[in-house]
Amino acid sequence: MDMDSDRTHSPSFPHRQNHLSEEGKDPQARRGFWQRSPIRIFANFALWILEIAAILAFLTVFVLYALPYAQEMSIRIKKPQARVIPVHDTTAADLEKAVASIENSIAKLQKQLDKFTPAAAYLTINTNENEFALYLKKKLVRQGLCSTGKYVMLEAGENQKWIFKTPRGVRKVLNKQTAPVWTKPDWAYIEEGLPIPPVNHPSRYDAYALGEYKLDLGNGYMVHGTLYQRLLGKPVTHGCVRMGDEDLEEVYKTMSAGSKVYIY
Amino acid sequence: MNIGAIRRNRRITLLVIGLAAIAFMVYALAMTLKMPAHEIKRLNQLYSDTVRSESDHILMNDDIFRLRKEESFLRSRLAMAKNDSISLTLDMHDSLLMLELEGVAIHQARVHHIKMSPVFSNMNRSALVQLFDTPFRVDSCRATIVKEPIIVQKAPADTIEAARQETVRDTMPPPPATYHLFLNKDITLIIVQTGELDKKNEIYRQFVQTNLHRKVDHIIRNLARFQVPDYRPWIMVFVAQDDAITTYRAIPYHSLVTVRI
Repeated sequence: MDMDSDRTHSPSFPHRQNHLSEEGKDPQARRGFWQRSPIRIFANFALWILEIAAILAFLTVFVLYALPYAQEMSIRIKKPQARVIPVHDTTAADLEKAVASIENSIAKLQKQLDKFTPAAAYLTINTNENEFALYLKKKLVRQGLCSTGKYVMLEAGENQKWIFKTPRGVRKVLNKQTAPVWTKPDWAYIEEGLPIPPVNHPSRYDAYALGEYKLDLGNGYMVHGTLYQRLLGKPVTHGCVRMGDEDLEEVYKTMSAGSKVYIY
Repeated sequence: MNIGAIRRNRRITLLVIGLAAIAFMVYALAMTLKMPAHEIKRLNQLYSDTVRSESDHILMNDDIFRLRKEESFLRSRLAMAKNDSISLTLDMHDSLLMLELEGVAIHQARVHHIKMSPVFSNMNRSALVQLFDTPFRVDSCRATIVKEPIIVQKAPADTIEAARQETVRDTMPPPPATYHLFLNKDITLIIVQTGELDKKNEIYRQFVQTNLHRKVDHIIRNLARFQVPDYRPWIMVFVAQDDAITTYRAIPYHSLVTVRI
């Protein structure tokens, strides 16, 4: 293309237009102010930027939305493979034999797996929903609400920290006790903003807080009763499992030392 | 430079950008469409007949396939039972999501709906059975919910401050419960709560956006190196909100997972 001729006839070339206008030969020179105004130049530039932006926007939408879904679509449109792999030299007897062999293997595996579930009483504790379930001879015998750890970290200075949560995993009942007495630890006073009494001070012993029964799970964790029955079903404890009176009684009577408690 | 030339240059630039964008889209689409087929081929090669005999492989009619799946499920659960931490079991046959500890099913949640990557239905049956024959291990996970919702509380100075602390509780509505477990063997297990999800929730929105950005970032990086991007087959399970939270909080970070297909 001839660049000079184009330039000569360009309506947007102001110097050339002015020159021609003076001579009165170029009709385009009579065009209005708009044709050579900076606003029009700017508008052209803006349009060009918009066009590039549109391409980039389209590309972005393609990358963000089309690409991730394209991979899934590619399999969906593919023909599914043949369901049955051709069997050439296999007779019906072979198939029966194979089925029997696998069924035998399944029975063995199921038996092995069943052995893991205790036939004796065991307890499961759901710390998220604050529920328990009591099983005996692999059958559910009772379920209900309980209270577990409240997930609070109590900080008292640099070195004193306690996390009040019920640890997950499997534990065993170490011993059982009726009319348990709770020996209040230091955190019980710190949490309530009370001064800490000396060790073995009479105020440390509480004969009512743990209810009628206690099942010791080790490391200071217990299953016990509570004075705050209305809080059952909520995470409010310092790590122990609290139960309602009737539930606790049945759990106490059903479980024995060595029974497993599954906490999750 | 005169305005005509500027205009022409702009048009050429526009054309070049447009053509480059089209070329990139065609290339990206071609590579992306290759991904799943690539993955199916890889899984078939990796898990077909690596252990079993040829006779086992050819005897894979519908009955035997069903029994093999059950057998591999039990075998995997048995392997998991020897572990002393909480593990996750997805039984797609009975629509159950279970927590297991030392072989005991301690929690069972009803699965409302399941979606799966089409890769599984396109895999070789023998390879599929092999793939699910042993427990998966969680390599990493991402969730809208926290594992342990611990609140830090400063020791109160006196009983009045202690009483005030009792009343302060978090009133923020919880985000929709969903989590992704990135398993070894390059499979992703996605657990989503049922019901209407509050998509305006900030945590949930960020979670979805981050997932999308990670996926796109991964694809772009591979495309830039002229490689077919990896594809992770996924299983998406819909359970009640409580069950989604319970299962996520119960399992350890590198839990074992068994899936019955």
